Amino acid sequence: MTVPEVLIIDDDPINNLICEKILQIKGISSNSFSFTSASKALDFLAQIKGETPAAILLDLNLPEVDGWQFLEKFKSLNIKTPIFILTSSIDPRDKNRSETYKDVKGFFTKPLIDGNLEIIRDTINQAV
Amino acid sequence: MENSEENSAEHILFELNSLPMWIYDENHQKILATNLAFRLKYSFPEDLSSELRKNYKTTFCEYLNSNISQQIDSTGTLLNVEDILEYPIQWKGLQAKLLYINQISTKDKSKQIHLETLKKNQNFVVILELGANGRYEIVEASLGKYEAEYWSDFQIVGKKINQLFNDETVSFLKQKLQLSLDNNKTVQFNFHGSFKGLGKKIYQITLEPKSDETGLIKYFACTGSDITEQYRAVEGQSFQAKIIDSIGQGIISCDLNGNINFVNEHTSRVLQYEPEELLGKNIITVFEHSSELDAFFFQLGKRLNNNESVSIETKMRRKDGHLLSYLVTTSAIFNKKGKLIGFVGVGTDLSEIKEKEAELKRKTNQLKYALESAGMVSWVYDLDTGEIQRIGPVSKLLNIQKRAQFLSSPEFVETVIHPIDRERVGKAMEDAKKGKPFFEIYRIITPNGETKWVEDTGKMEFDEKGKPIRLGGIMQDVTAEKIKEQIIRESEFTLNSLLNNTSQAFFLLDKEQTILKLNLEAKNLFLKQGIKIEEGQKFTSILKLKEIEAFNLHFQKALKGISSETQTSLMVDDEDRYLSLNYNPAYSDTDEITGVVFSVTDITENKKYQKELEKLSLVASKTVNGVVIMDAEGMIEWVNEGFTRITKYALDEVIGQSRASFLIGSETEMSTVNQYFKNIESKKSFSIELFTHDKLGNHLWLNINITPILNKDGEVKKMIAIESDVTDKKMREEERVKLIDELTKQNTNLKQFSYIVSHNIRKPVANILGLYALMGMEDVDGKEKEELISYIGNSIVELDQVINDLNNILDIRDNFDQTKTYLKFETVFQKVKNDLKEEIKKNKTEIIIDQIDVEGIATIPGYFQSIIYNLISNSIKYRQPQIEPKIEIKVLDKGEFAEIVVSDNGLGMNLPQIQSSLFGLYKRFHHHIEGKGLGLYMIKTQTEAMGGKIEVSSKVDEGTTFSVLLKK
Repeated sequence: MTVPEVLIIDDDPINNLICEKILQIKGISSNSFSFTSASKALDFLAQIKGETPAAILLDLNLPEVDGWQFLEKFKSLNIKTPIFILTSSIDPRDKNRSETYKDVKGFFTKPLIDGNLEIIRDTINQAV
Repeated sequence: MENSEENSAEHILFELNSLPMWIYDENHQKILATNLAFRLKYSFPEDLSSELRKNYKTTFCEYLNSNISQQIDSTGTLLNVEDILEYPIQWKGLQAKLLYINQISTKDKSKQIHLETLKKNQNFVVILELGANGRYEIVEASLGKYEAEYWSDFQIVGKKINQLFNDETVSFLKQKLQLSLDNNKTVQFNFHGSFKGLGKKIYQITLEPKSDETGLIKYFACTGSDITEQYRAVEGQSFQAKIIDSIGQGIISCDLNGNINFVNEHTSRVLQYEPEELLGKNIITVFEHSSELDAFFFQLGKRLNNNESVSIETKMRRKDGHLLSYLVTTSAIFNKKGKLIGFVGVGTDLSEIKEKEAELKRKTNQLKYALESAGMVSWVYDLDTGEIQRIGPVSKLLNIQKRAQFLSSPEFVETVIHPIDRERVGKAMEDAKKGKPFFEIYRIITPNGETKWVEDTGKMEFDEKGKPIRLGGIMQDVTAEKIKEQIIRESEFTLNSLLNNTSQAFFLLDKEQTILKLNLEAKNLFLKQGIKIEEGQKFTSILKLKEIEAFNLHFQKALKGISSETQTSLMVDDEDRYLSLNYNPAYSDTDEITGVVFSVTDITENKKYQKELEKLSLVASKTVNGVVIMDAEGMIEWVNEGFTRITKYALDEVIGQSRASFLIGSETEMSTVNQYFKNIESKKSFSIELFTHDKLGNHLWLNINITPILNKDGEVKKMIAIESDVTDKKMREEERVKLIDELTKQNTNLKQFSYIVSHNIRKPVANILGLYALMGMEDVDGKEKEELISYIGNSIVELDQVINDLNNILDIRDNFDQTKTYLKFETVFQKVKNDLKEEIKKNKTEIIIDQIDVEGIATIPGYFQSIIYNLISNSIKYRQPQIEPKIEIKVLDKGEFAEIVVSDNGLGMNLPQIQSSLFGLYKRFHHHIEGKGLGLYMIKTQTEAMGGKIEVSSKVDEGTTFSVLLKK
């Protein structure tokens, strides 16, 4: 499997569909891929060599390995990819907690809105 | 002197005569013999062969030959030549002269020296045995001094009497023996015997019959002495006897039985007996019997071995019974072998002296009685003559019999005064000559060796020229006082050391309250109080003024013999000092009360403590708290009313008991109990809260504050416990804890709700928003739009489901008080199996219900059914893909609880990882399997709503077991 430009991790397939569509329609990235399990996403990231995704969109409320656990394990992968939290939570504690991870570059509440999409676009452009 | 003469009575009389005597050859050229008194007085050598003797002989003879009326001899004693008297005697067959110095008086003829002689007066002893043939045989013999003269003992033993004596003598002896045998009586007789080859002899014989073992008289003890010479003397045939007879002193001798075997002419004349009459009579005949005489014989017996002579002033009895005063000096007589064979006494007529004495007595009668009653002796010491005269009960004072000798002793200082005091007394006498008063207390040694203390006061008398002439004074026996004094000193010393070494403080006041004595401890005790007191001080000076009245009262009581005890305070400025005084009467030797003895104790500390305690008790009795006073061992001494109110125990129920024994109940935590005792041991104040019960068994929370009261040495004296009932407080505390628990639970719930709101409600809403935004975009075609609309529909259903779930949960929460109905487990299981029959069938699920120990319980049917439904459906849902699910259901009886166990062989869970959120709302652990994460949350909520609890155990790939415990 080739390395996608944007990696989406969310157990909600509707959300994943929305994200992929909007990234494509807005012309930000047509090379996005969704994982409904965080552990599977971690497995994928662990085995890629050289190329890395330009951005990761991460949901927090996930079964088995949740978003927070993903962030912990991600640290050890030594991958520089910026992570954007994309969650339905409007709890400010989640936002505050996310800011303690240096890999996390943004905290976005669903659905993705224009401002947040522009940040993702800038990030991808910088990576290129 | 030569041996043969040495032990003769004659010699003894000579040797032991108190007058210095010597014997010259006829021409005054050679001293043949000297007596002891002479040798002592003139330091004359005993060994007559020595050079010294030769020299002495010359000077002494020259001196004696001079016609100077007075001379001073070598010892410095004045000597009147006139006093030297001379008698011609026979000395060992030679004509000789006996000379002696009369020291008593030159003029008194009756007191002239005598020469005693006594010949062959000693006994022989022969034991005769009466043989079967009527013959008497000598079986034992002790001839003594006769041995050499007649026969040896050896020669006569075994001889029959007829072998020794002629026929006439034998028949005479047999007649006497027969007399003794017939009467069984001692027979005494004079025996004029003719011995074979010896000629005529006169013996005095005593025959004493003796029985053998069978009681028959078989032996005769025959004692006898040769009195031939005496006989002849009486007949005037002996020159010596003439001398003896001519002297003015009586001489009398006896054998060991007291039988007189010699008297001189003087004796028989004075006593008005014929000489023969006295021979053979007992010596007692001529003496007045008295206790003094007994003492005399006793003394005699004691001194025999020392070769001493003994003197006694006694009465001699004349034939007509008239008594005469005599001074009798007696010596022992030994035979040649040194064996005692008799006594010889020399009597000096004291009647003249007695008369003089009687006159003196009359003159000094008054004085004497005065002195006697005072136990004193008055004395005059003539410096010129060296004579000492004494008036008064000398014998009584000095406990002696030898009064006459004592009277005549000029050497008082040298011999009588104790060697230790001699120099001192001598010096005092010298000082007296210079006019100093004479006063000495010294020891004297009485003739019988006792030491006596005398107090001697004297005054020197001077002549017109101021020359001291005589010293007169009074002597008093103070031995008893001295001994008493010494005893007192000793006992005082003992008492002092006792008093000073005891830890009890003592002091003694006289009647005027002056301190007579105080021991070391008492001194220290007062010093500790900052008071220095000494003997001689008034005791009341250290007391506070207000105390003196009470002190006097007790003091007066003690003087009347009543002991008492008080407490008093001392005159010390800044702080109060207290003493406990014990008053006891002090008795003198005569049992008079002479003062008061005090034992004293410092009770300041006690008093302070007592005061503090009083204050404390006052507070304690009024407080609402319980107050307990315990001793050092934790035994209750006092409790207040507060204590009784709290614990329901009254004072008399708990006094003397250990507080701990009923403080701690079965409900009290062990760790608290340990802490309590640890704190007690620490000797520090502490507080502790204990759960226990009162007397009636009501539960009680006590807050106990225990303060130990220490003495100055840091030892616990008392413990005071302040106890308060904190049951209410504790109850409130418990309620608060419960409330906090509830609130915490509520808070958790709220958090969960906010989570549900932020995730589970927001999620479908966010999706709808996102889908709606997509639909508005130009690039989305119609087909895609339809797809998006269906997604929107799904999201709306999801949103509805979440709201329904929330409603269900809130419904459970709000219905905690829902009424319970009895439900049979079997019924519920069958119903759930029926509801899930599609799922069961589809997954080939095996459900085993094999053990139902509790038939049913009262519960909320909906909840219980929901729990079982969720558990079974979860087991099917999370089955292992390759294995057919198998579910086992059991109901176990756990006493209060019924335990419903549901175990499966499903996927299992990694419990340590997920435990904390296992029963959380909308928690899912298996991402591949559909689930909202509501089931376990519902099970837990419902279980708890019914007052039960749920436990879980699980292993990945092996299965999971849920246990629901519900109250029966």
